[in-house]
Amino acid sequence: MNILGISAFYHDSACCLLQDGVLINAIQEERLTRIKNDSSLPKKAYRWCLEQAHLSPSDIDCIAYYEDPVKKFARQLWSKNQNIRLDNLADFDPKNVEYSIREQLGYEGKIVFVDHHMSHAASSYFFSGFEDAGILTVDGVGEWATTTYGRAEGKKIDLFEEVHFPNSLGLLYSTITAYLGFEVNEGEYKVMGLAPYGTPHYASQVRKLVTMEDKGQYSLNMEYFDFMKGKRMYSEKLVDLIGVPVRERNASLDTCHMDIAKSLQVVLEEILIEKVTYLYNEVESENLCLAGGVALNCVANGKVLKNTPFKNMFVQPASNDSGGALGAACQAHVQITGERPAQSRIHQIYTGPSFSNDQISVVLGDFTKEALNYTTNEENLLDEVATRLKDGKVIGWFQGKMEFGPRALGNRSILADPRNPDMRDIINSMVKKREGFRPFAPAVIKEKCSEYFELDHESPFMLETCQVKPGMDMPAITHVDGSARVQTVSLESNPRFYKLLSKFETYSGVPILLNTSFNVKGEPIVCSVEDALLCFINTEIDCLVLGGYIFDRNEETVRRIKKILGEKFSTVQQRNVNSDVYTFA
Amino acid sequence: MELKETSNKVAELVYSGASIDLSNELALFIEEQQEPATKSTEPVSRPEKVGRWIKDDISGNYVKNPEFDSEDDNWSEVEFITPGSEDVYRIVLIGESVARCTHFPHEYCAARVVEKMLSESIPGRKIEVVDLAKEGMRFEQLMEVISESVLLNPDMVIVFAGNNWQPGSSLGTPYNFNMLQKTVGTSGQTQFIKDTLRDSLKSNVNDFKELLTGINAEYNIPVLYVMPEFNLGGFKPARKEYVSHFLPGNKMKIWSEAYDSCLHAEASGGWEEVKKLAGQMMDMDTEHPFAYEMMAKYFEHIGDLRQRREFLEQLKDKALINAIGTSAPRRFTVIRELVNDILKESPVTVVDLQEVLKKHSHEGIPGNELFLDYCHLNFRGIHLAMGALASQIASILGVNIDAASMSAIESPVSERVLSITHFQAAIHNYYVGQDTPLLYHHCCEALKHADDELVEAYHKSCILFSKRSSAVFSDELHFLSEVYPFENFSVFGHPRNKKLMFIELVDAMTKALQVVKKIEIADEIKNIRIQEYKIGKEPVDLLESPYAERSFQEFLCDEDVAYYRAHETRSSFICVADASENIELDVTARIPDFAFCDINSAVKVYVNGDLYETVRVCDEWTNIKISIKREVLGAGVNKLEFVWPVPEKQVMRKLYKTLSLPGEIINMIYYTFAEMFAIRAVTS
Repeated sequence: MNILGISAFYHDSACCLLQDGVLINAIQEERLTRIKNDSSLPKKAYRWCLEQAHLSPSDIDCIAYYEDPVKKFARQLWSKNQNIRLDNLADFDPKNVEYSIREQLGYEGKIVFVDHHMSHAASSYFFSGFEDAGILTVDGVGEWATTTYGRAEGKKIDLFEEVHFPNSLGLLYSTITAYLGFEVNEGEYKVMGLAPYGTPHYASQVRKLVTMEDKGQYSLNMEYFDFMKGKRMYSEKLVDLIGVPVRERNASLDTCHMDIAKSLQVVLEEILIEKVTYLYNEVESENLCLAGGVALNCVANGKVLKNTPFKNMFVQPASNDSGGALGAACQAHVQITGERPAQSRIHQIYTGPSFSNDQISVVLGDFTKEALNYTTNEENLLDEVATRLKDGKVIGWFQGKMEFGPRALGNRSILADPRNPDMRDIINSMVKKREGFRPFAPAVIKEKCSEYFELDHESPFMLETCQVKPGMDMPAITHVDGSARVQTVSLESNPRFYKLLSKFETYSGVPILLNTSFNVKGEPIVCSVEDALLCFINTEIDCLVLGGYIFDRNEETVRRIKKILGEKFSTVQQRNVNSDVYTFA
Repeated sequence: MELKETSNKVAELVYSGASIDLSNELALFIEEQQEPATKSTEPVSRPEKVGRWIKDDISGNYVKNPEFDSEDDNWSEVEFITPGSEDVYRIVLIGESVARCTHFPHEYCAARVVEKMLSESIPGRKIEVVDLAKEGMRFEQLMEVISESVLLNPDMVIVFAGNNWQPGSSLGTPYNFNMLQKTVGTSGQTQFIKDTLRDSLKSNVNDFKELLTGINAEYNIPVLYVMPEFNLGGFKPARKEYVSHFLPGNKMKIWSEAYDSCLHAEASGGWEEVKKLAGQMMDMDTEHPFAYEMMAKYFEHIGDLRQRREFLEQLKDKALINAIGTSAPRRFTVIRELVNDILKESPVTVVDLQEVLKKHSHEGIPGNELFLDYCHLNFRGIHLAMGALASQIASILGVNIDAASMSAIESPVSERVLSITHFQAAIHNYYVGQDTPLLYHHCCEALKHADDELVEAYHKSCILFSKRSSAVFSDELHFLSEVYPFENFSVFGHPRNKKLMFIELVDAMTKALQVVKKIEIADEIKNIRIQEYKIGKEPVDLLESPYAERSFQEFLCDEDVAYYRAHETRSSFICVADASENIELDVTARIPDFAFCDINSAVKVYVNGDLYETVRVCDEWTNIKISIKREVLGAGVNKLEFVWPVPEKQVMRKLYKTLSLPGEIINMIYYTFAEMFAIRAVTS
């Protein structure tokens, strides 16, 4: 039974293949097109998923789409989407999704449409390994729903209550994100990272934005929001309420901005704790599953688990819309086979492309001779890398299959020594080229985690925060409030990364590395060897490890290549178009 | 009814296909949902800018505008432009890449050439020509720059443009989209498209005239328009333009038989038969380039140059709908007709390069003796064109000097520049889908003007092009970076993760090196190809990079759909082998109109030109396994060809109305003989 899950036409489009209920592969379209948050139908991802499994379109039993286009269209009509007119109604025809799949993917078989929040719910529950669970999904908006409450048992998911648009915690968060001068759908992480610098002086104002109601319901006080008109997120009334001017993009970040971020975070956590407690009282389960974009708020996740009666929690690592592809495929599997997919908990999410040392060598071409070759000696490779890390080098680490979802978990990562007090600033400014306040996360050997962090369970997907234990001096991964967003690494889930952490412990005494995604601001995480090389050259990464090859930064070589790149040599994919192609007209 | 309920009802109705018959009540609902449009009452303050330059309030000069830095290579390198002075006669020259003299160094451009002609021929007068030309200048930007140019206080305005006036976007309007859908599969389909495009062009040319005449009237300055010409004799349509269109009934079958017969007649010298068949084909499919190409050949054969030109013009114009938005830029015939019609009563002086170049062309048909590619002129072409322009300007200034005398005032360039110019033309022609003869012509010209260092650079370029790794990481590129002018260096670039094999280009240079310089690199290239691209134990997909592409504009599975569509009866692919092992192909394909094909029809598979196997493919995705014996493979590049069956009749294809770009819309009228999802190749 081959089921393809697809998410598309909003942001983070993706494709995955579920074979007899087992996740075989999954990839976001942006990684292949190099267009950040690519929302188009994932044609490249589709080809890749099928090619990797040696399948053709006729081998697909079903394509599961992560949304119901009819309901979504109804909501767009209701919300007075100004792009919809009588003369272009056909452009918004809900049938277009099916037509696109047929036409652009060349697929003639069965298509199943799964509601947006059901897709989120299934993506979390079916990979949680729980026999039963309460489910909370929270995001900006799906069709009508923005928040759903569900109970699951065995193969059955029942979403028994929904909060409807425009009442949305995701949109509340995005509104303040916009208020603080960050990009909606992109800057929410930044607000979360900014919050610990502040104090919740504006919590009372933020509370006025939401009215808590019975059961799982809440409503936004729409006088403070303007997103219905599609021009901007907040109204002038919100500016009056907050009493702080809207921050212009790239303007300086002041204390008041940090305080607003903190206030939002506090209020979000209050609401989530209240609603998750409500959920607990409605379901007969100790297990909680979270999904939807808001579930990527790892700070809130930790608070939810700590402050509600649920004993266990699972958060879908691709909680954003890309993960909807997984959930849709799972739900379609249940519909078609009557069986539950994915019986056990998912422990790793390395489902993307990988490159053998031979393939890497082919792409490197003449550049191979600049590399140290450890393709036949992993032990020495790890020794060399760990030594460099201990010496304060920043490493681009490109190994095995690429991760699915927004986090780099040790296969497309930038790594560094967490003990170095300057490391956060170095990586933020010279490598990632992003805002200086943003924190970095630690990856730690699973068995050693509790020695360093207040965490008593696995966190393989970097979706929870916890406190760093007192006395542990790791400034590069410890946030201003003493917290860290931990990734636990096991030998089973990622052997080479685990061994590197062990080796680093041998040299440094610490089984922990700073781990951040291998990309620069505005670009998707690197996917191919060429992506990694170009990212390496265009940043200040000291050393690049591609499979079994190590490249130490040779300034002369880099200068030479940069000079060529600087001369309009086409390399970097532009957003939405192949405009790096040499052309005249 | 509650708003939500109504919304749900409307959505369901639209989904059910009732959208065109929405009840009045529901239609009203949608209209009521719209906010009344509000117009901003605040005056818009526009910056004082001219093209990529913006006014510096301190100096009063126009300096480079940082907002345009990404377009830096496309404009003149001039750092600043003064506001002008009383004692200098200032001409502004606005134009597209032809005016920038693409392929030449930046400092060699139409403005400089014509300025030198005027300065030397009218010695008593200080004349300057301000270069406002830009590569890739679209019509909308052209109009903007023309309007802005008056800020520079010109005494004369010249516009040299028309190659980039692609009207395709007009097809994207909802009305035209719906109309287009209604015409697909009918005899009126191409006429509707052509009429729509013509209407759009007419509107543009009218706007253009209004703008030019407005400037002439308001500022009382002469305005000239230079209308470009096309390389009719030397440039062929790209392979992607040889597409079949939907033909009702059994016409496709008849057309395809005529196609084969026509090729056979040409090969056997049966020219009257060629003419007869080409005429029949034109009647059936008015837009397929092949028939026009054959007709032009026929008239060349019988020496009727007027008719030959007529068909070459029509051949050129097939790109209007066959590769909309992606064809090599050109001035379509309809533009010339519209310009001549609309501008004839205006005060705008037209310099028509078709007339200018005709008398300097081989048999009156401009070709490679004047052009570097489709529209960019070579050294001689530039001087002839600018000579005619300079003569016209001089006449306006009251000085009579004929075009020939003007053209004789040369702006010389070095042999090295000429060599690099031809080399770049070879690369560019490869990118835009030209065949080996044109590539070889430019490679030979490049070598004729090359010094030893450049010869070595071209040799290394062949190695660089033939390697599989990204060019950035090749040693050869670093050699080239030392000897090749950086402003032209981008020709070695390629999209990320998409290195090409450059087979025809490298083969052309390999042959040119052997013929012109007696340097043999064929074995070296063959060995590199085998080493880098040989099919091995790991399967590769011949539809994927780097096997599939032959130019950056012809990626097989990269654009509208996730599979390859065959719009011709033959689909060619390449695979590289060392011929020591068999190659196993695992092909996934389907024939959409299989139901209308002869019951016994099969797909013919050719290897290196010889029929190797016939296989059955149906209208559903079919997996076929083909084992290619090593005996039929050559060491190096091998050609695989699939010849698809032609249906006995055609019926309207199923249409999915999800496409929004003009190119995608036009795709709907192309006939698809077959579709391929994968050609996995591996050695056995």
